[in-house]
Amino acid sequence: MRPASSYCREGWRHLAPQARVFNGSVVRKSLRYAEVARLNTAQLVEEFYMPLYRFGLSLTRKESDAGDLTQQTFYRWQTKGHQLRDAAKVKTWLFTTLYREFLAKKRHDQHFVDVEDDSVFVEPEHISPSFVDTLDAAIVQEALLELHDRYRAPVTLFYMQQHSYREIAEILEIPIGTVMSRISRGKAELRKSLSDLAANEARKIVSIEKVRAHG
Amino acid sequence: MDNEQARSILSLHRRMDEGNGDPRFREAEKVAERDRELAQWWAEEKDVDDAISAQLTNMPVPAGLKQRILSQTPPSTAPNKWLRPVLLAAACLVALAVLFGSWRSRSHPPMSLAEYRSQMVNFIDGYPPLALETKDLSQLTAFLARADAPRPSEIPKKLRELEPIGCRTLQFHGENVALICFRRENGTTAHLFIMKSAGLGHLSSRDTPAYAPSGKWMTAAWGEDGKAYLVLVEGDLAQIKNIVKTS
Repeated sequence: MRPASSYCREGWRHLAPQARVFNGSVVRKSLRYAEVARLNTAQLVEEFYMPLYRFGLSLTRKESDAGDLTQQTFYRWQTKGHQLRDAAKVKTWLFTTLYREFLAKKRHDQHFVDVEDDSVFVEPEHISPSFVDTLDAAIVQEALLELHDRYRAPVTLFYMQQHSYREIAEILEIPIGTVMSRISRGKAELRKSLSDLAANEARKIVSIEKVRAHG
Repeated sequence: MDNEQARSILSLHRRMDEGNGDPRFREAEKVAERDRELAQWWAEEKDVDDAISAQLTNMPVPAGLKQRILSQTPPSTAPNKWLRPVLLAAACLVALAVLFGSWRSRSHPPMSLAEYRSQMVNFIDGYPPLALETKDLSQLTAFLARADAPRPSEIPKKLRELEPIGCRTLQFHGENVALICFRRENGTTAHLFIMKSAGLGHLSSRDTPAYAPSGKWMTAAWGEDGKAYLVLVEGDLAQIKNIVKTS
């Protein structure tokens, strides 16, 4: 199956650093300061406003707040983006900025919670791909938004399939080990939630059918 | 690597992570090549991840959002044309001054307490996330030890009595800095930074810390046992004095 997010990765190519072949391998030539200035805001909006909005929605759980965060992120780009030295970092810069804006808007003590996970791996509940395909997108979205705060951001970035682990760690400003630990636990929580939500939906359908049968 | 370890590593790798050169992943992949059941499980895992990804990336985006973003007009950041040569000349002068300064005072410390204080305040103003969040101070110091960050030899009594929130590490001039946060009675946060004091020049002693305001923060700094301590609280001089006092 081709992930739907791949359109963004393909779209990113025209902004990515030029590639050249060196000793038989492709080497990325870093775009430097001057080239950052040439990045077109309209192009960046076109490429990133949707994934940024979805990331914002996963953080805030509110469409209006996610829209505001996305708008604010591009405002920051227009006012501060010229300080970025390496154009290849634009994607990470935008996601980091959105995340920082989110944290800044949140009351400072709200993002502190009391427990930390030490174990890196948690065995996720087994579900089949066909099971996920049968789920309504709204159910998957609901399950994601129900995730605990600490897991929601890394799990969203994981499933967006646009960022390496290193980039996720940069965006969230936490060590890679912590990213992996949170994704592992978040995935397990998401799968469980999906199973529960799907079971609830199935029960509702059975109840309706029973009512119809008796009616 | 056994089957269980391979499973834990593989479950965290998406299709896009394949070929990223991670040696542990390569090893786990080899285990899967030898174990048909594990290979089947991993193939399904990737399909499930792709299916969830596809559902999430189809989340609707409000109509008009793009237009709203494109229509916002930021203040112009481009300098006026006449200003450009002036700024360039000023930049050259600053560069020369820095070069001259570094040549004149090679033995002088390259960083200062004022710069350290200012950077830590800026850092906190950015609402940085914590790496470990727990109320257990011993867990926090153990985490800092594992992260190769300086641990506090002694935390002021009043600060120690507050409820810890969490910690993280950061860097200043290539030096590891430890940050521990405490919740104050009034709900605000007290921040304690610790780094090696070498390079910061002479620091006040524990009994007579150097106090300085910085934005909304009041700060106190001192040196002890080769470490520099910096405390940030929202409040006035009396409040921070109360927090860092020795007796």
